[in-house]
Amino acid sequence: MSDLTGNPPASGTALKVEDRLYLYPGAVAVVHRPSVITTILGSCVAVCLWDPSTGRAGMNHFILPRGGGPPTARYGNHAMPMLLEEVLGLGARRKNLLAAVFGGACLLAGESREPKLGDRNLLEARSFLDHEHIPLVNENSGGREGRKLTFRTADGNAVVRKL
Amino acid sequence: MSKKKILLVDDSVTTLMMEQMVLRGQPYNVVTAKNGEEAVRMSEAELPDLILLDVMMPVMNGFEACRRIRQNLATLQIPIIMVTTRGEENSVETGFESGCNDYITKPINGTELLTKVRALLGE
Repeated sequence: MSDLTGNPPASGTALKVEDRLYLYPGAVAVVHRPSVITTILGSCVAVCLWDPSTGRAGMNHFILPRGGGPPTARYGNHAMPMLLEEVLGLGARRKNLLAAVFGGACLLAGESREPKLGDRNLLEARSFLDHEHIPLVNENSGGREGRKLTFRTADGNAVVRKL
Repeated sequence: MSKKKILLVDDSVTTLMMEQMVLRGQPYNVVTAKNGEEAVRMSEAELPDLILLDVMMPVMNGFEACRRIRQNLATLQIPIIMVTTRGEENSVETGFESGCNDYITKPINGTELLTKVRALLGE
C-alpha cells in the first residue's frame, strides 16, 4: 500500500472507487469510504490527511495563508484545524495520520522581496502539521506551474499532474 | 513611478463593476474589455501589467483569448488570472493549459482578488 507517496499502486491492486468529488477553492472534504478527491491548484495549497488503518481521509484547499473573521476554509489558519477536526470527527486515529502538501506555486518570477503568496500558503500548512506532530510524508509544491491533484483515499495515493 | 495597468475582461457589466470596486483606491489604472476578441486587441494596444480574464464570453471565449495573448511576443509574458464559475472545474484545467497563471472563482472575494493581483504583480 502506498502512503500518500504518489507512487502507482502495486500491480493487481483492485480499487473499489465509490465516490468522486471535486474540491473547490476554500472548501474541506472528508470521507469515510473509498473516494477520489480532485482539485486544481495554482498558488493555493491543498493538504491531504489520511489514516491508513481506518481509511478515513480528507483534503482542504485554501487560497490565502491567514485571515480573520468567521472561520472559513479559504484561509489556511482556519482550513488546517477544520480539516483535522473533521477527519478526527469521522473516526480517524490521530496517531495514525499522515499528511501530504501540494500546490503553492509561485506563478510568476516576481521581483518582490516579500515571501510570495504560494510560499506563505505552504509555510502555513507545514507549520500547522509540525505543531500538531503529523508526519508530512509527501510534498509536491512550489515551481511555476498549476497542478491537478487526484487523491485516492482507498490506498492513500496522491497523484499530481502539472498543468 | 507610473501606475500599473490592469485589463479586466468580462461580458458581465456587474462583474466588471465588482472588480473595479475591489481595485478602486489601489494604485492601478484599469481598462476593460467585454469579450475575448476585444481583450486580445486591447492587450496588444495597452500592454497591461496584468489581465483578469473571464471564461465564458461571446465572440471569443477566455481560453482562446488566453492562447492568442500567449502567441504574441509583445503580450506573452503578461500575467493572466482566469475568472471561473463554480461548477466549471474543467474550465480551470483548460485555463491553465491555455496559459493562464492562476485562477479565482466567482463570486469574487475582494481580499482574494487583491492578494492574487498583488502576488502576480510582484508586489
